[in-house]
Amino acid sequence: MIYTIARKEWLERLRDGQFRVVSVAMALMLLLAFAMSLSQWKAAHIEQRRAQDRDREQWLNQGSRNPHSAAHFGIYAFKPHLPLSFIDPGLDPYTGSVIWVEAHYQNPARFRPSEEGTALQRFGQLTPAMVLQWFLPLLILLLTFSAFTSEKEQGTLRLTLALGVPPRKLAAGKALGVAAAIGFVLMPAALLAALAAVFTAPEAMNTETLFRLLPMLFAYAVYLAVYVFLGLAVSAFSSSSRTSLALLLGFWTVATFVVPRVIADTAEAAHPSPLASDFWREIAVGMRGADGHSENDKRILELKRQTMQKYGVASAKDLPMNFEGLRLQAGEEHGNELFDEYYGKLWSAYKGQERLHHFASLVSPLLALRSISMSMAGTDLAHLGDFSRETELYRRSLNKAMNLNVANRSRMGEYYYFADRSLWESIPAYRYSSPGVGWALQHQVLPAAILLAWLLMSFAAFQFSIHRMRPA
Amino acid sequence: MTLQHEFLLLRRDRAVAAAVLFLAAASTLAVVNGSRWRDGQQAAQSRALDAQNAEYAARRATVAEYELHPPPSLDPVLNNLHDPASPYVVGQAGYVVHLPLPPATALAIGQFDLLPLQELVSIRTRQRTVADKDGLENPLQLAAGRFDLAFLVVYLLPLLILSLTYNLVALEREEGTLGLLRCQAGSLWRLMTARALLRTLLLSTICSLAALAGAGTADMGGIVCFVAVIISYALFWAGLALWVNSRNGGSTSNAAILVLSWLLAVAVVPASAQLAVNSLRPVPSRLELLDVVRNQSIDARRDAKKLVADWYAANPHLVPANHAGPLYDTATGGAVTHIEQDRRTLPVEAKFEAAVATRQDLVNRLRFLSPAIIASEGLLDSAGTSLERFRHYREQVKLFREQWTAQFHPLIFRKQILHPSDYDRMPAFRYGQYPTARSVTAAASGAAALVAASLALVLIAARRLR
Repeated sequence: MIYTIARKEWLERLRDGQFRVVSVAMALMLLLAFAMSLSQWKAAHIEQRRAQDRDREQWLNQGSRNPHSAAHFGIYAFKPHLPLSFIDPGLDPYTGSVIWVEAHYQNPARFRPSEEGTALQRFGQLTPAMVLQWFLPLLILLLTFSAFTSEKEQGTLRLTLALGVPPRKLAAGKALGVAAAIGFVLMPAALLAALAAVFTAPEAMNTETLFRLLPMLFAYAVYLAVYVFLGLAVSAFSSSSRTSLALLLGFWTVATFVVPRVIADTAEAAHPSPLASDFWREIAVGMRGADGHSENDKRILELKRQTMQKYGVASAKDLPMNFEGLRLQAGEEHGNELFDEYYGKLWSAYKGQERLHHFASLVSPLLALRSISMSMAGTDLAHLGDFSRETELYRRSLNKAMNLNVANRSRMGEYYYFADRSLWESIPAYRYSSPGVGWALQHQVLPAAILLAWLLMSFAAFQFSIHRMRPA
Repeated sequence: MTLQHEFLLLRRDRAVAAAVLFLAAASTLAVVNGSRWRDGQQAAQSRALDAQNAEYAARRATVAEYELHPPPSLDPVLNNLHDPASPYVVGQAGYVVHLPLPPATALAIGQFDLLPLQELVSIRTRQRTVADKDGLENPLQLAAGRFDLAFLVVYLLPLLILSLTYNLVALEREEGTLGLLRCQAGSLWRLMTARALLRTLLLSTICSLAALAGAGTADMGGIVCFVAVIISYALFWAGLALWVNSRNGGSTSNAAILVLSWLLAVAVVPASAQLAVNSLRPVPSRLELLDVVRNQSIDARRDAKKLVADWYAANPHLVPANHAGPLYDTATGGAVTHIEQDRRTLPVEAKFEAAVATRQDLVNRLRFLSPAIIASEGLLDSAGTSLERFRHYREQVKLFREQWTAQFHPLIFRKQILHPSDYDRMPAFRYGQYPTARSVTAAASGAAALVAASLALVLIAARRLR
């Protein structure tokens, strides 16, 4: 019986001209988004690999140079674009994926694509994630809002129930019919996209990608199921199609457009992140005197005294090493403490904000889905944080190697001490690899739990509405 | 008589009351959010300027003290990296400039939370100066965007208008009163138009009042434009609702058509236009620019001594008088290296900037594809947060950088030190206002297009409803 009802629902949809137009438009949009995003991902991936190789070449071929000067020249660290970022670019347009590793400063990621954005940017970019997160739920609502109300209005629900059709079976059949209609839109597009991905970017296809794709697909399936159950529940509960449509559209608008912005502002008010100008000014004040270049700072003078005492000499010139190298390293270490403190505060503000976004998923399932989707695509805050941390560890080891080289290989006052390629080669190339799917999933426990709670609640609402449904 | 009756209906309609209450609350929240952001930015700008003024006052005082009690001789190589008498040190320390935020910024933040509204101008290379140490805003916040009045107007105001107007005719038909209405004196289209207009003006008045509350009356021209864009955008949606009503569809069908139109206008068309811009005018590669900058940096540093010699040969008037030592030192080498790097990277930077500008030009042409884009651009133009105003500011920053380097380079090459009088002569950044006529014209052309479109829709609807 359920199959018969589902078939009838499906045929009804197929014969509905409006549904055909909207479905084809949606499928085309999805395909277009897949195609464009994939081609952009591929171009960015190739360009980044090339830039990474060029950067290493530049580091190795910088010629003879003072090691501290080489540390100022630095290297660029690149955050790889994981393959699934073509489905959900997430925060990538707003974070930048390159960090300049240099002496004295821990830099944030640079070259945010959004800085070159146009006035259209804030409307959002057409990506597969946008179609799946924004538009597909709307299609589901348009398919479900009148599932029961139209039958109530036409009087056919009373007839159907009088024939002995159990309401639960009727509801299950309708749910299946809607799911089939959604599949009709999604399947061909997904299949074509998968084929395109396999043929145009085979490098993107590996086990890790598959392991990340599965939870992502599961989260999208749950999200869409929430909308199916909600749509049917409201339709069964409402007395007219008008009321049902108004309630569902109101929910979709608030959940998709209003809550994400309001919660972002609220989260920032609750956990304000420091403004760049204040952040850097305070660091500059903190570094003053102990930046490694000042000779007369009391901390540096104390270090000099201790070092001379340790080696039993009366003058820094008599030390077995160049004190200037030690001074530079002391400056780095002082800077590191400051960066730990200031970036610690910054990331704690970010995490506080992110936590509020997660809790706000209780009001909008989109926030939970978005978090999981970005995480699986490697384009969320946690992945950025990991990249920043790893890069900072590399920066510290690079600077230490340069400063110790000055200390051990040159004499005090030897300003024109130059190291050669052998020193540059001794520094391993920086190749960051993203953490695995297990690590990513650990950061998504709360959003995943809330998304599942949405599924349960919407299913319960669906069951409750069916139970209470009256023919008219 | 008709209007009186409609007013009565309006006052008794609970849906209208709910929409008004929701819009008033949301507008208040939007204005509070926007004002908080603007005030925070303004406070940060003041703090940066105060700190800079204090820093320069302290440097000047130290230099004045040097005149009375000369310090021990400076390190010949490092040139003392914190010496306030060194033009190389002070030139690199730079000058913080910022784009002033007019009161109306609180209404439409646009992309101003993404762009560097404050930067350090110095004698370092342009690339170093432009892209240095920024971008600490939470990307989660940047990706979500701000809940400001512009967002409310562009996204939610149309939905509220549509919710009150989608079934003007259909409801009468469904309740069996359409025939009665047609029997009365006065045409149906006039009645429906009056009904739609009253609801639309009521809602747009709330947004307009919120705009006035958020921005005050300091920039009346901007506020008038802002309100004009709100009203014209609202009229467009009322016109569309009338047109859909005139098709004689049912309430549900009308609602579905109008919501899909809204989705097309606020999401599908802008996102597709963005996709078109990215394909036709791809984002220029920052990495390519970076590659060139770093290559030039290696070359210029390697050739620094020769570059210094060539520089003095080409600029003999800058050779220090009675100077016996070598002309090359950290300061002259650094300054010449920066000049040379800037010279060599200029073509790549120009290409990059031109590519970015052509992207926005294409958007300006594509904006007529969607009323939401027209309204959004018009609101940003009126609030002073358009990308054009930002570009105008960046041009001034470039000119100021030239002034700044022109102040310090001669002193560096002549190996002179700074005196208190040099501090008094230092250039200060004065932002030249963006021409009001330009933003008014841009906003007015958008508003005119929206009014024209709504008139066309009303006329078609009128013909059908007659």
